[in-house]
Amino acid sequence: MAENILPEKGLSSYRKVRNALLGSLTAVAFILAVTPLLAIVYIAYDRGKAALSLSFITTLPGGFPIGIEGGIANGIVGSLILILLASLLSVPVGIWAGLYLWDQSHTRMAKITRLLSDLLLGVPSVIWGVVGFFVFSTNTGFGFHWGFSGLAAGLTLGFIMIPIVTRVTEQALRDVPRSYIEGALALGASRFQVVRGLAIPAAITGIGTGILLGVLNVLGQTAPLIFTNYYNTGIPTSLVGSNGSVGDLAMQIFIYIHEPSKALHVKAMAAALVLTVIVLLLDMGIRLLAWGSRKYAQRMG
Amino acid sequence: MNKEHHGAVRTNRTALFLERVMGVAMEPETRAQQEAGQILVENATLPLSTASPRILSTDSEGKSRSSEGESLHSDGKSVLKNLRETSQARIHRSERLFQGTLRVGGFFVLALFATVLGVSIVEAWPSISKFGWSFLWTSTWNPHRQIFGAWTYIVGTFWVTGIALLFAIPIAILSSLFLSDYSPKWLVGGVSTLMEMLAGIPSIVFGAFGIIFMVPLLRDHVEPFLANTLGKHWDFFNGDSMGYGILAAGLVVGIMVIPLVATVTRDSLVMVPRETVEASYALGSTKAEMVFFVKLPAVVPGIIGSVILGFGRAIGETMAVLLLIGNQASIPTSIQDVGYTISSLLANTFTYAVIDPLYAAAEIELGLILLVISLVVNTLGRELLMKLMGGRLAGSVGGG
Repeated sequence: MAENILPEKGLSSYRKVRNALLGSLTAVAFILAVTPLLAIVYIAYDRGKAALSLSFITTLPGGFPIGIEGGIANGIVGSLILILLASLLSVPVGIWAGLYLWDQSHTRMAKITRLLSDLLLGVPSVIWGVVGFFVFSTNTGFGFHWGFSGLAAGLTLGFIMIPIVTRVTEQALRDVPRSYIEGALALGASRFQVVRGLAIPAAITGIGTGILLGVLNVLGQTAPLIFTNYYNTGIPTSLVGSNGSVGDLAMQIFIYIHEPSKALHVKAMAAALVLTVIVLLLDMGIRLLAWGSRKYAQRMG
Repeated sequence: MNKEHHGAVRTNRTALFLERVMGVAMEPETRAQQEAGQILVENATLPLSTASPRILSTDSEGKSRSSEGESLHSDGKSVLKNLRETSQARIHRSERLFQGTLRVGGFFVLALFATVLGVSIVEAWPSISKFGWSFLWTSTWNPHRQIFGAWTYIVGTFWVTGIALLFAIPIAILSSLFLSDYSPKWLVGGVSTLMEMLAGIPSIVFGAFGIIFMVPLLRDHVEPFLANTLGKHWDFFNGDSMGYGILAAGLVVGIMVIPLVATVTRDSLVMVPRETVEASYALGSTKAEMVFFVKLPAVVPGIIGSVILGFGRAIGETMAVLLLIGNQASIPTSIQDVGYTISSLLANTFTYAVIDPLYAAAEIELGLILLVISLVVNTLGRELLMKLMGGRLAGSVGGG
C-alpha cells in the first residue's frame, strides 16, 4: 500500500539525460565565449613575436613600404600625446560636471544633464570623428581650422572621455558618506570648503579610477583619428596645422594590416600585442585601485 | 519604507498636478500636510543645497511659516514654489556664486551634446532637405549623378548586427548560466574579471585578429563547408567563399559583444531570490530544470536589457567591420556576401567625400541615422536595466 503512494525512486532517464545535456551545454558555451578572447591575445603574440624586441618599441619606422623596418616609437609617443591632450580637456570638465551633478543632484537641470551625459556614452565613435572633424579639423565654415592634427584628435578623444569622467566622478562623490558632508556643513564650512577639503579628497581614488577608465576607453580609438588626425611616421614638431599629425598605435595597426605585405602584418600583430598589453595592464591597475580603496574604506569603517 | 516614500511623493505630485492643471484647489490642511510629508520624506536623500546651515537664517522658522501662510491665500502660486523661492533668497551670496560656478560644468556637458547633435544635423541638412524621407529607402548611391540613398548601408549594418547578436546571445546567456550555477566557485571571480578585461581590448585589435585568423579560417574551411552542405538546398548559404564579408564581420563583432551581454546577464542572475531557487528544488526539480525553467525565465527582462545594450554596441562598431566586411556597396543576399555598413562607409570614404558638399551631407545623414538608432537603443537598454537593478551600470562606449 505504502509503496504505491511513494514516488518512484530516482529520476526518469529522460530527466537524467536532459539534466546532463543542458549542464554540459552551458559549459560548452562558456568555452566558446572565453576561447576567442584568449585566442586574440595568443594570436597577436604568435604572429607578432618575430618582430618583438626592445628596439621595436624605441625606434621609428623606416624602409619601403614605410614600416617594414624599425618599430613603433612614433605610435607610442603619439598615443601618449593624444591621451595627455584628451585628459587635459576632459579631466577638469568631467570633474566639474560631476561636482555639479552631485551637488545639485535633485534639480531638474541636473537630471537633464545626467541624462544627456549618459546619452553621450552611447554615441558611436565614427560620429565623434565627424563632430571632431567639423569642430577642429575642417578648413571651411565654422570651427578651429587646425587641419589634421594632434590637437584636433586629442580634443576629440577628450570629448569622448568627458561623459565617462563625469559619470564616475559623480558616483565616487556619492560614495562619500553623507554624514561627513553634513557634519562639515553643520560646523559652518562653506560649500567650497566642503568640496575642496572633504568631498574631493575622499573621492579621489574613485575620480582617479574614472580618469583611467576614460583613458582606457580612448586608448584604442581609431575611427575618430581617421577624421581628425590620420597618421605620422615620425615624431611631430607641432600639434596644429598641415604637419601637426601625430602617430598613433591604433592607427599604425590599421595602416599596417591594410598593406598587402606579410612583413607589415607581422609588425601589425606585434603592435597589436603591445597595445593589448598596455590596455590590459591599465585595466588591471584600475581594478587594483578600486579594490584597494574598497579595502581602505572597510578598514576605516 | 521604500513603498511609503514612493507613495508620498506620488500623492504630492498628483496633488500639485490637480492643483495646477485641473484647477482643483486643495484643502489648506491637506496641502500643508503634504508639504510636510514631502520634506520629511525627502530628508533621506536631501540634496546638499538644502543642508547647509547658511541657507537658513535664525528666524527661518517664523519666516517660512509666514510665507507659507501667505501663499495659502494667493491662488496663483503653489506652496512649493514659494517655499523654494524664499529658501533660495536665504542662501548666502558666496554660496550661490559657487553653485553657479558648478552649474557651468554641467553646462559644458549640455553644450557637448548640443554640438554633437547640432553638427550632425546642420552638416547633413543639404541632404535632408534634398532627399527627404526617401533617403531612407533609396538604394542608389551615386556621387557622380548626385543621387544618394541609405538603404544599402542600413541593410548592411543590420546584417552585421544581426549575425553578431545571433552568434553572441546564446553563447553569452548560456555561459553566464554556467558561471552563476555550474562552475566551481574558485573559477567565477577570476573568469568574470578576465572576461571584462578582455572586453576592453580595442576594436582595431579585434579587426587585425579577424584579418590574420578569422578570414583564412572562414575562406578555407567554414564557408566551403557551408556551401557544400546547407548551400545545396538554400542559396542563402552559397557564395564565393572569400573569407571577407558580413559573416566574418558579424562573427568578430559577436565576439566583442559576448562579454557585455554575459556580464549584464550574470548581474541579473545573481539577483534571483534564493527562495525561488530553493522552492524549485523542494518541488523536486533537477539542477538543469531549476536553471533553465525557473531561473532563466525570471531574468528575461535583464536579458532583454543586455541584448539591447549589445545591439547598441554592435551597431556602432567601426574598425573591425571596416577591415572585415569587404567594403562593397551591395545588398547582401547570402551569408557569404560582402557588404558595407554605415560606420565603415564613413570611416572609409568620408575624407574624400568632404570635397563634394552633397556627398558629404549624405554621409553625415547616414551618420545621423546611426546616431539616432544608437541613442534610442542605448537609452532603452539603460533605462530598462536601471529599473531592474536600481543602481549602477557600467557605461559602454560605442565601439572604436
